Amino acid sequence: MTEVKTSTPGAGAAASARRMTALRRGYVVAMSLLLTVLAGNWLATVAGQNIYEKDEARTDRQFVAPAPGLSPADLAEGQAVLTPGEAPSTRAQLFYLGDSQVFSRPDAPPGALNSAQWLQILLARQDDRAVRVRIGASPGMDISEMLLKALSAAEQNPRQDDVIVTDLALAEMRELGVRAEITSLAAQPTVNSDLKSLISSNPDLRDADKTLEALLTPQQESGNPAADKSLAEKIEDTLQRKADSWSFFAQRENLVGLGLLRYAQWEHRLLHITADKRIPTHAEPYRTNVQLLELLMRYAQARDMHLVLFFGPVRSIEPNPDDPDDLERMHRDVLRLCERYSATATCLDYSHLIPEGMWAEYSSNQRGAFALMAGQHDFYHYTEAAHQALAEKIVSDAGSKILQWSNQPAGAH
Amino acid sequence: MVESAGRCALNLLSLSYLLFIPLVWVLTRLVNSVTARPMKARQLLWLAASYLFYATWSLKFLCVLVVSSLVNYALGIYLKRKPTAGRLWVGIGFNLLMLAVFKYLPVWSSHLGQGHHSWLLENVILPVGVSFWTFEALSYLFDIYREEDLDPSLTEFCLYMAFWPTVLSGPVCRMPELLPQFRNPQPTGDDIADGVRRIVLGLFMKTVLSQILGSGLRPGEGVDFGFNQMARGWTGLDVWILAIGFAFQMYFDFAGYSNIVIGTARVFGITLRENFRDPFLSTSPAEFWTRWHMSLSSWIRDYVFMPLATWRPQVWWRHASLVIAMMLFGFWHGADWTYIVWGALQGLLLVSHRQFQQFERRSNLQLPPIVSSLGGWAITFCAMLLSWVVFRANDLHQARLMFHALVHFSSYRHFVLPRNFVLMTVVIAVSYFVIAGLRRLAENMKQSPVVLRIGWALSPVMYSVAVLAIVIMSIHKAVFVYLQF
Repeated sequence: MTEVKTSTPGAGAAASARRMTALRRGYVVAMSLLLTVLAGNWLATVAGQNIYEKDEARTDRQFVAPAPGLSPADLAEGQAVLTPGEAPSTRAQLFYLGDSQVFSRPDAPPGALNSAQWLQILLARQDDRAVRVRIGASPGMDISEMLLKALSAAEQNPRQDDVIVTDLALAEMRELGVRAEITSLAAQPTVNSDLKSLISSNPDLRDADKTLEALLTPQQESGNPAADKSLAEKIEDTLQRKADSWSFFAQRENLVGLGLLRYAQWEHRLLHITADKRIPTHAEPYRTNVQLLELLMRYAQARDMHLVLFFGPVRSIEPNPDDPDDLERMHRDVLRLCERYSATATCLDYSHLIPEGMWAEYSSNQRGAFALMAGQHDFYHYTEAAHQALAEKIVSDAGSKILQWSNQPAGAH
Repeated sequence: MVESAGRCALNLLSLSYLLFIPLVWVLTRLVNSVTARPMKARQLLWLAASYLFYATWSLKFLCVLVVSSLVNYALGIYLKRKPTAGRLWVGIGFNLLMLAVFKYLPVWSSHLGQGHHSWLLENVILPVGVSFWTFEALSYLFDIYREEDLDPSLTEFCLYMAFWPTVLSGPVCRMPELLPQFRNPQPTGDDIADGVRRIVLGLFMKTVLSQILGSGLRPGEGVDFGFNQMARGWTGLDVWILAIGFAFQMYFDFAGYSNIVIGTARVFGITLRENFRDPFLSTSPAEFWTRWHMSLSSWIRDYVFMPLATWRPQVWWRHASLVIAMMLFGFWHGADWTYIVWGALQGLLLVSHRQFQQFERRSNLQLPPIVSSLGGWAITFCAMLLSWVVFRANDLHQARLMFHALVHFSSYRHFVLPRNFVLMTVVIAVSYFVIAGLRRLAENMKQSPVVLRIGWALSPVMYSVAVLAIVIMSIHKAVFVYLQF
């Protein structure tokens, strides 16, 4: 009896403690789930708005708006540059490379033309069956990416590129590093084998070779990756697809982009990053990029392609992110290469082509990282009028040669 | 063809794995309640789950694991009948041969280059986790030789070798700890709650923190880029930042992995060895090795250093044993000079620490505790960071270049690495120490009901933030660094 009397309150207390523990755990699980779902849905909505804006911006760039002085034929030529898949193989192929400078028009309304489209229109006005311009330029492109794009474009099209026109900016010579979407080009069997032969036949350009060797990946043995998938992979793919039905999961990539943008905002404030801050050009990546440019010239020469290089316009105000000494060194080195490969390479200097009034300013209306520098000078991009001026200058300096080359096509496939 | 890892495996960071855990858990409950011999049925279920898990990496890997398990089990019986040194050496020889063939031969054959490959060399596979489960087999044989009372059945032994949470990269388990738990696991509510907490923590450490340090926030940043970019070279400041970045990347990667593994086992009522305990708070190299990769360092201590050190009574031999044991530790990571030199450096650090302790005793030197702890921490932290540079360098030439930058004070004027990466590394490292300090403070105040209530009330916020961050960052296809060892 005594035992029962003493144990009953203890058992009751233990049961009550167990209930409390269960309640506490239940609260943690339920609240965690609730908060995760609510916050996840809210983040997905924010990210969804962002992707909607991006899609809208992409649509803006996919058409050509009528403008005074542009005939229906001009509009059709300008539009054709945006749809390279439809390029007729009867025309000479002009591959237009460079960084965002050659296509970005921060001030321009939707449908405005960039220098590539102007180049197409101006060349077509002289001979409407001669040349098809295709854009290969990408924002922040360096020379290794340029080379890879040139190789890939030369292999992919019904007719080999006849002419490569590219701008050269100091920014392109500063960095080394090929982005994943461009690296993937090297996985194409023909590009891969071209790269290999380029490396093996140019052992003197050791730094360039090393950079390209890093891009060589083992070739896929099967042409149908989906069929090669194991059961584990198929199950994982199915689960990922199911998970995508939760909008938050589906918006992950967008959320990473948004997060980076917000982070960049703080970074700019914290590290006092401004558009005019001088950017150093380190010796090693610069030397490698010069070697890669030489490799591009040798490649063009070997394939009987013509190369038109122009020094991209430089905004000549101080303070300036580009060091004048670095610019001078780049001019010297590139001109030396142009002399050596003068049979196929033509160098033009457009450093001072664009007057101060035609340069862009960053504004809060711009999207992405550009808006972070609102109110500052844009040292890389210029107005739509400047794009036209650049294309006119290219046509005036090299247009007749381009049209002449288009009648003597490089080795057709 | 050298096959280093399954290209399509069930890995710890996949949704399949998060589904695999509750599936096996439910089946375990079902087996426990339905079958007449729940222990046997449960062990068979776990063994089948472990083999299925490992088979998703490669069927060839599974074959090697099964053969190794069967042979080691037979060797155990053979040794138990008559535990002689000769019989033990047979077992050691077999396992070393396994390592030589499946871990080192593929690497050596790839170093031989084109034209030197025989069909055999080209077809040798490198089963993931081979060095972990081979060390488990060795510890089992050592324990039998020491006449520990171990009587695992074949199923239990195979499960010990293949237990799915640990089969890929440890922690290196010991039979005396696992056997009783395999026979009578009793998962409580606390186990499940703690297991889930550790899985979430581990995923956060790996998917968020290690990923940010390893690959950076943007292309052209991160530890991997920093070490692999040879073109620009490094300044002294870059080397320090890369060393800090890599040390924390490794910590978050491997401690994150360990948390997921320990948490998974805990959900099933199995308590595994801890693998990390705030290693960067260590105040001496000896303490560091009781806090970093604890399961392997204690294995090396018990089965390599102790037998070696007791072989000869002289002090110099004990020091030599330390260096040899740590070089073996380095060699365990792979057949590369960087690992061996890293191991030798660790051995020398441990010997130096012992010498300093002896000097302290002999000279009756008594430093104020704050000076001793802070000085010890600073020296240990910096020494460990520098040794990681050798470990991570692509070759000894690169390590030499990086050390060259360290000792040239003129190279301390600027960073070559992106400022953003420098900032991120410093923020993560400082946060680690702040959080470690706060955690210690909270542990001291654990009895306070106010602290308990605040912790309980805020925990859902922390869980949901962690889960959201894990989901967002899961867009990057991450791989655990230690899978390559």
